[in-house]
Parts: sequence; structure tokens; C-alpha cells
Amino acid sequence: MDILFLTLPLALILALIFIGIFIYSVKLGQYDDLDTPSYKMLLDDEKDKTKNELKGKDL
Amino acid sequence: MASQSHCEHCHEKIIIPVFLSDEESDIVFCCEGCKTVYEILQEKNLTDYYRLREQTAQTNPTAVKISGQKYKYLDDPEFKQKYTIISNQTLQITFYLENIHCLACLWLIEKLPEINHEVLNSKLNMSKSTVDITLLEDAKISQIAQQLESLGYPPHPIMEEKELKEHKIKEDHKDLIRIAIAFFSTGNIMLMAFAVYAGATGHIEKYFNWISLFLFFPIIFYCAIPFYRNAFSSLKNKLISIDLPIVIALLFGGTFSLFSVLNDDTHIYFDSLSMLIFLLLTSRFLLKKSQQKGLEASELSNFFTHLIAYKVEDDQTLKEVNAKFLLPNDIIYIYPGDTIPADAQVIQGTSKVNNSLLTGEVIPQPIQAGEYIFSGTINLDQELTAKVIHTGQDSKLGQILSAVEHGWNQKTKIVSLTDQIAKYFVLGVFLLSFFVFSYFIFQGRIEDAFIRTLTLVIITCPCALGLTTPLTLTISLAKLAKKGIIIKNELVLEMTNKIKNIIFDKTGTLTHGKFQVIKWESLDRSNYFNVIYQLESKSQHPIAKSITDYLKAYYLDEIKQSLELTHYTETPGIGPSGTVHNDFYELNQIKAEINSNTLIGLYKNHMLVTKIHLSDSLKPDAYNIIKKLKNLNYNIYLLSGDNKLSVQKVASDLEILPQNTFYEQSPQDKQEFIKKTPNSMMLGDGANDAIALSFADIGVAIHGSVDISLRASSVFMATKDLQNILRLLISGKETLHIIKRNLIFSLLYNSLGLILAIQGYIDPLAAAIIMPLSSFTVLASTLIGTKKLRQNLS
Repeated sequence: MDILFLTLPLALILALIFIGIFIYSVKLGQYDDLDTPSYKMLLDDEKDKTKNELKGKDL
Repeated sequence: MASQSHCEHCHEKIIIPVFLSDEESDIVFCCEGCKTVYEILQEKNLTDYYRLREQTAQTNPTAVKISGQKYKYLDDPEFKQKYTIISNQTLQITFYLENIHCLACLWLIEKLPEINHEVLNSKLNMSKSTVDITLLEDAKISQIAQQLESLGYPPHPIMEEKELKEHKIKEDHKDLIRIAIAFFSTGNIMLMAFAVYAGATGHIEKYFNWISLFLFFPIIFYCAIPFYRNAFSSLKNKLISIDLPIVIALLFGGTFSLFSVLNDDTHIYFDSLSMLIFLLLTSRFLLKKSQQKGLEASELSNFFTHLIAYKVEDDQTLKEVNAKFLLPNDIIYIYPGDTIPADAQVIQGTSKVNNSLLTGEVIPQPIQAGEYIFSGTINLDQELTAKVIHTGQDSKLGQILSAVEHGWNQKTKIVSLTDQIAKYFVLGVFLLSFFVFSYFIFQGRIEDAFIRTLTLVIITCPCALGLTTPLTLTISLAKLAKKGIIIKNELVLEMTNKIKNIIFDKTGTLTHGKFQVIKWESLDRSNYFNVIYQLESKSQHPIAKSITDYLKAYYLDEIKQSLELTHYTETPGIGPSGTVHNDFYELNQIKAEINSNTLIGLYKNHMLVTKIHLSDSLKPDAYNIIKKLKNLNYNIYLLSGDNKLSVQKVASDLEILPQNTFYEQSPQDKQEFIKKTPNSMMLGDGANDAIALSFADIGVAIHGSVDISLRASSVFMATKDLQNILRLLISGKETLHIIKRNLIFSLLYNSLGLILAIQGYIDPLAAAIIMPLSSFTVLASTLIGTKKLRQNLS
């Protein structure tokens, strides 16, 4: 039982870190639009495609 | 690839094919608009759009209609000052975009910087259909607006009240942070509490209880602030809301537990109370979010109407300005087919005006010099020159709109069922605690008196009661929104159960609101479909459009054949004429028929050969819907601004009782009628219904509403489907049913807890079981109940 003496406060500290990160991300505006990102994740990444590659593929 | 008879871009059936200009290919379009989009996408290497759309869109896009608007007014310094935010040599503007419907739209809009290099960034909000665009400071906004339109998304600038917007975002942030902290505290308090329940004793128990106490501070001092605020503000208005018993339980429970910690006692309720706050905060946030879908009323009032006016300058040239910038005594020039931008007096010209927006009348009214024309109505036949008399707020339309606002403010607030119950609940709990307390005091058991009364107050905290209503409403609202019924005030759903009278507007609500061919009478046994099509397709007149639409829909093969038409002329106010195979044809309106239909005649060498009957016909499902509503024992009324004959015809077609039918009603008449008809639901689409809509217990604006501000009414139907009326009423009934069932559940739990508390059986462990259990029962009941709702809706 004595281990609780250590683990529960540890859990508390961990949770404190997470809540700090969450508040930070809220303030950054990450949760301002909750609908659009749900569509965006369906889009493929295009970063590695250069414009020329695109041209060759689609035309 | 689309088949040949379908448009490459919008997949609609092709009537007159438009080919790509430079290459031989089998790609065809239904119109120039669609072709333009296709070409832009090809040029900018954005053809991924089609692939994305194929994968994700459920509905086909609409054909691109180019209005030819130049959006020049967007470059006016006055406009820029009001509608944009300038910082760091960039300019920010927000547009509401039409036709946003799928992922591919999102993708394309966010690619805007690749299409126009003056655009630095563009961010689309799918649920609101708004886009925030950042531009170089000296960029031409008109050009971007034109580009958006040519992509098929006509833009409407929205004025952002910066402070209001920032305030709203801050509120949202605070809500989220409150929920997060409540979750954090609840989670950790429960860990501690579990350890104690599981048998932690001695110094461990003490240590954990102290940590719980500190974790409870943010709950009571920060997370619960909205509850204090609501309870206090309703008390100030001499009302009792559900928040009051919650606050009482929280404060009493908190203090009681605090003393228990200090005195090494076991009555510690931090876990139950914090869990309760967390659940309530979450459910309220979800409800708030589901109501914020779509544009809000405050945003709508700043909606920049697209009304273009042509101002006659001193040197007799025409200047394109936005109607908002017109001033009294300006001279304006109005083209046929244009919406009249301000209340004005005609100086020169004769024409016909469609007043249906203001009066509901479908038949055009003749107008000549000296007479008055009103903002929002449509000039049909010929050019008019007029002097502006009233603009904006002072115009007839503006007055109607401010009356609408007045109506909203005046309306008595609906008290939700939960708040009604809360009143008796608080009273009941107060009386009971008083009796329990006095009983034990008389028996001389002072400690018991305190402990049992306090546990009574805590255990009867109506958490499930507070939880159930927001959750049920959130789910119902979301489901209705999917069907195109957008509800701005969640209490409307409860209100639907009190409705006894349903009042319909005629034009645009029960009918299509525009002329349609209802009968085609051939007098010499041959059809002249193609001749008529060729003549009418060149005309801009609304009747011509109705006839060509009809021909396209039913006689597509005939009108596809080529036909040589020569000597085409259109005499304004009379009709088009031309020569085919040496026969002279003309189309004229045949005057003075007894019934309310409009009659067009085709003359071949001055002999009448075909008669076309046109009328504003009923929507196909109107009859069935009215019948179903009557079977459900609603009283049906028809209230229209149109003339006696047309209104009576519609009433008899729909079997609406003559004593329930009213014609030639002005907007004020309609308002009076609503005021003296209690428990009413009004459905309408025109500005002439707007005041009545705002005064009705439930005002429903139907799709096609001419003025966008009607969308601010408590219910807006985004589809033309009249079936949605039934959906709204049925789901209102079922939602209330679910809420009631949940109320019974939660009251049962509370009574159980109450009995146990009086007898002294309630300790923190029992509370920790009973309180969440009741919440979860209610949650399950809500989810099961609303599942049924979805089946009924489809």
C-alpha cells in the first residue's frame, strides 16, 4: 500500500504537465475550429511532391 | 470520366454542350461557368480537386453560375476601412461563401494562394462556410472576389466586430480550460478516493484527503464560476434555475468535506462533487457548440448585401457602387432584371416590377414616371431612372428588418422544462431538509441532525437532471441539422409540443414562388417547341426563363435540333419575335383572363397557334404535408399578401378551410394575426413574413428566403423539402419524451438517495456510487432514445 504514497503524487505531477500543455495549445487557438480539421486529415500530404511531379501525374 | 451527356465539372445533364476551346476532346460542359472552373484548375495544376471530390462528396456540386458581378465596390476605400483588418502591410477579410459542401472545396479554397499570388493565406471554416483571407495590403479585393466566384463560390463579405469575435474566442478558451482543469482535478481526486475506499488508513488516508482538498480548490473557485453566475443572475430576475440547487450542493458539500478533513472525519465528498461539475461543464459546452453551427444572428446583421447600384454621375456616366453607399437624392439607373437598391421615385421610363418580396404578389405591377419603387423588389421589363428617397434602415425593407429585431427582443423567454421543475425541486429539498433537521434536533441528536441534513442536500443535487437536457438537445439539434433544419434556439424543440396552429405563407413557402408552365395548349396540332425555345432563350424576362426551363426539362430532344432564326427582335413590355422558314412568329401575353393564370400566346403570321398557361404552382408535396398535419390535429391557416383569386385557388387545392384563409395581407396584418393567435408556428420566406415570423412562437424561414437576415429566425430550413416541417414537429415531440423519461429516472435516483440519507445510510462511498450511476443511466437512456429518433427522421 505504501507504494501509493509515491505513485499517486507522480500521477498528479504527470497530469499537471499535461494540463499545462493543453492550456498552452488552447491559447494558441488549436481548438477554435473543431470541424474543419476533421476534414483536413483526409487530405494526403503533398509536401514531398514537387510541382513538376504533379504535372506529370495529372496531365 | 463523366459520360458524354454529363458535364465534366458539375455532372449535370448537358443541354447545350460547351466544348473546351483549344483541344479536340470528349470533355464537355453544361455552361461557360463550369468550363472556366475546369480551365483554372487545369492551368494551376489543381486537378486533384476532382479526385478528392470523387472520394468524399456525397452530393454533386451545382452548376457554376456566373453573375458577371465585378465586385468593384470591394476596392472602395470606404469599404476597406469597414470590412478589413489591416496590420503589418497585410489585409484580412472574411467572406461567407456559397456552395461549400465537401472536402474538395476545402482543399481548393486553401489553395487560393497558388491561384492568386496576392493571397498570402486562406483558411476555411467548414461549419460556417466562412473563409478568412490574408492579402497583401495593396491587393485588389475585387479580383479575389471574382476569382472565388469563377471557382463557383460566390463570396459575401462579412464585417467582423473584432472585439465581439475576440470575446467569443476567449469565452471558448475559458470553457475548454475549465473543462480540462475539472477533468484533471476529478481524475486525481478519484485516484485518492479510490485508495481510501479500498482501505487506505492512517497517515496515508490523511495525506490523500489533504491532497484531495487542494485539488478541490480549483473546482470550487474556478471551474464552478459559470454555475454561480447563472444561479445568481436568475435569482436576481426572481427565477430559480437548475443551477441553484447545484451551487447549494457544491458549497454545502465542499464546506462539510473541508471540516471533515480538518477533524479527521470520513464525510468527504470531493470526488462526487468534482465529477458532477466536470460532467455538467462538458455537456453544456457540447450544447453551446452545436448551436454555434452556421452563422450567428450578430454576424448576419453585418452581412454585406450584394446589391449593386448604378449611380448616374454629374457627367451622365454610370458608376457601379454598392447599395449601402447610396444616399438620398442620388440618381440611379436600374437595368431590367436587377434588384432595386433603394426606395426611389421613378423619373424616367416605364416598366413592370415584381413586388413579391414585400407583398407576396407574384403578378408584376406596372410602374411609370412619378411612381415609387421599393428596395428589394425586382425591375422586370425596361430600364428605369430614379431618384433615391430612402436607403438602408429607412427604406421599407429596412423598417421591416428593424421591426423583426424588435419582435425578437420583445418575445417572452421560454422557460425550459428543467428550470420549471427546478423550482419545485429546490422548494421540496429545502422543506425536507428543514423537517429532517428539526426532527433530529427535537430528538436531541445534534450531530445526526447536521450530518443527515447535509448529506441530504448533497445527495439530492440534481446532477442527472442538469445533465440530461443539454445532452438530449445536443444530439437532436445535430440530427436535425443533418436534415437541413437549423435551429438557433434549443428551446424551440420543447416549444414545438405546445404548437396548435400552423400558419403558412403562400408564395415561396407552399408554392415555388416563380412562374411555371402548367398547361400547353396547341391550337393547330403542331408543336412549336423549338421555335418558342429559340425565341425565349434570348430573353431575360422571368416568364421566358420559366418557359425555357420547362422545355429543357420535357422536350430536350426537340429543342436540340438546329433551327435558323432570323430577324430576331425583342420589344420590351411585349415580347420577342423572329422569322423561321419564312414564317413570322411572335410571342405575346394574352390579356385579361378570368382565372389567376398568366397566358402567353404564340402567333404564326399573326394567327394564334399555341397557348401557354403559366402559374405559380404548388410544391409537389404540399398537399400531402397539409393533410398529414391536419390528421395530427393542427389547425392550418393560409396567410398571403397575394390577391384573392390566387390565394383562394391554392386554399381549395390544399383543402384549407375558407375561414382559415386570408389574402391581401400586409406585413403588419400578418403580425397582428400572429399576435392574437397563441401557440402558433409560422412558416414563410419573404421579407413580408419577417415580422410575423419574429412574433410567432416558432418562426420558420424556408429555403430561398430572399433576405439572408431571415436566416436569423429561430428555425431555418436549408432545403425546399416541406417534409422537414413534419420532421421538426415529430422530433420535437420525441426529444421532449426523452427528456421527460430522463427526468423521471433522475428524480427516482434522487428520492432513493433522499430516503437513504434521512436514515443515515449515506456515506461518501454510497454517494460515489449513486451519483455517477444516476448520471450514467441518464446518459444511456439519452443515447438509446436518440437512436430511435434518427430512425424516425430518415
